[in-house]
Amino acid sequence: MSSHTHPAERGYDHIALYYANDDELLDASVPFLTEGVDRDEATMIALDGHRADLVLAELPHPERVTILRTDAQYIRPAVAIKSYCDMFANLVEGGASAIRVVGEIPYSALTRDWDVWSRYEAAVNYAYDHFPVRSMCAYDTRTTPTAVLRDVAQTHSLVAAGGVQKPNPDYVEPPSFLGRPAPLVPHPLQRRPPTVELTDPTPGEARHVVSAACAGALPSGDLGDLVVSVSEIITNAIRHGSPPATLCLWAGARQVVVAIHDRGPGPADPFAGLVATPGPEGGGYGLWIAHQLCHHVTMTRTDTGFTVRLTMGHHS
Amino acid sequence: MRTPVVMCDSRWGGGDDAAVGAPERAAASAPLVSFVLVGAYIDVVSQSSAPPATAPRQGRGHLCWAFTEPGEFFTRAREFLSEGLAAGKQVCLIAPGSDRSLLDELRPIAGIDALLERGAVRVRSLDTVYGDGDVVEPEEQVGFYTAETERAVADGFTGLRVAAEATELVRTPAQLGAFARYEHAVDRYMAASTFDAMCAYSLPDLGADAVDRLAAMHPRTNVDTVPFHLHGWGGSGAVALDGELDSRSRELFPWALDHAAGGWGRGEVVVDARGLTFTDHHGLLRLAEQAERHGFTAVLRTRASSPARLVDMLGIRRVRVEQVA
Repeated sequence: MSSHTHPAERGYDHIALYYANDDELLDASVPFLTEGVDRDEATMIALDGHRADLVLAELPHPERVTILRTDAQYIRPAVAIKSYCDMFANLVEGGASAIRVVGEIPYSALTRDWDVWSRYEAAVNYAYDHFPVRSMCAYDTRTTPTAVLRDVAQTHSLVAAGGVQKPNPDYVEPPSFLGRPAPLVPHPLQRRPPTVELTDPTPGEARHVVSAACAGALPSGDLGDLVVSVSEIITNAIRHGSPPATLCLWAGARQVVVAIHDRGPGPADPFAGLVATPGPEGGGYGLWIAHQLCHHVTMTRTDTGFTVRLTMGHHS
Repeated sequence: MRTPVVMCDSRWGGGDDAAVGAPERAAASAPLVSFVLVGAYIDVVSQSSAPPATAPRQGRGHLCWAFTEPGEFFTRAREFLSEGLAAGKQVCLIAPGSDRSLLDELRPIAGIDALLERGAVRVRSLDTVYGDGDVVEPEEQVGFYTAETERAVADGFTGLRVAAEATELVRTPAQLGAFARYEHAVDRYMAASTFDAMCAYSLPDLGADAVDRLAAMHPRTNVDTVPFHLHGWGGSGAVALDGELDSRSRELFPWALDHAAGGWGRGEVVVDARGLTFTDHHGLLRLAEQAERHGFTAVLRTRASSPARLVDMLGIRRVRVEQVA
């Protein structure tokens, strides 16, 4: 949360909008969006079709609100961060004094991939703070799981209450939230022995093995993206981790899981993977690229070291 | 027409001339020519009866050969030059040692006397051309081989092929850097002409690092530790990238680009990467840096889908990816 008051200087206000019915959604979002339009700020919504229609119908100038498609905007957390950052940068460059967004992460992401989306909600406090942005993240308390609501409370610096926003006493600074131990939940494919197991492979060997093992399981574009990601992660394990580096691959009918482990502590940067942190020589992109390309990425620290698990494809 | 068979030719280094077909000039430069006449004056054999070309496809004829014993070099050089002769080329062996010793090394080539007599085979002692620590001037060298190739063609050969033992020319970092620039510049000439060469380097003398650097600047090599090759492609000024760019190339690829990209000009430069089976983001970033530095846009032609994704994802400018079949 920014303490700046001048629109051009202020950073990111990350507001949780809890609603249990349509009126509560409208009571919070409509004044927020209307004020944005009145102030000539770049104003947009990323809501599903029904909720978008509901909100737009209540706005005095709906034509001045940009509608973002939720399926395109919330593909994956790292992709959403990049997409929003690129858009914010373009808007600011184009002269926008401030930006407002009302968005809602698709329900399927809340139930299936919340482990990574909770990290998104924490990371954006840092990632969007370079921009004069206020966003309201809408959560339907009737359907959102309790554990998700608990994370929402810890990752939003403000809470919408009627037409105003109040500081959120439950907010946790992103590095603390992201640094908490993540429970290791095995992927269903990991219940059986790995299809392939390598110890200290070179990146080239890892690429070759992944290509050969996954050729039938994934479309060529996904396979290419997985190969790039594996190459980046095994390179990180070799360069920054502690040996031995191991690669285990589980190939399903239409889905592949690759776990890369080394005995090091993993990256110190709590935002690693979600926000690119390039060094002068172009380092710092590896985990971020894997997060951009793979359908699901987890990072786990245990007593034995650090594991990145990449999942590509969908459970059939 | 009768002509002397002159094997030692100090023009190769810009020194005094002892040219094929110029007995008076050969005599005038006698100090450099320890032996000149092999077969006295004989009739020049017509080149028109040369067998059909069997050389590698154009743009890939430039070979880097690492050896551990001089004997290995001469064995491979004989094979390489024999292939050139079979393709109707004029060939030349360049190496340290006396001209006579170099000629002796070529003795096993079938029909060597006749080949020498008609000027199809020449030798050039490196000892007479370069001093210790001499640094090559890339443009001058390329100009020289251009003229030699044109002369060979004018004399009825299909082109020129050289086997050179160049260890002495790359001993210091300054020599190595200049020679790498030269290797790339002459490689681009080879890609567009009927000149090709085998550049041999002593692995024990130079070490694996220097040999890897040199091998990376050639389209072909017997060095299996070099992960990629950066070389010329065709007559339109394109360059080609083969192999893989990953952590193994992290230091070598920027070095190779540093010694190549300065001569690529401005505007669009086609980088034919159909033979590049993988590039990580570092490879693309390094290419973009060179493009920025020298003011060109690299058009990366690749079969893979991931380079375009990475360029887009990282917002890399000055590298445009064209996905080709």
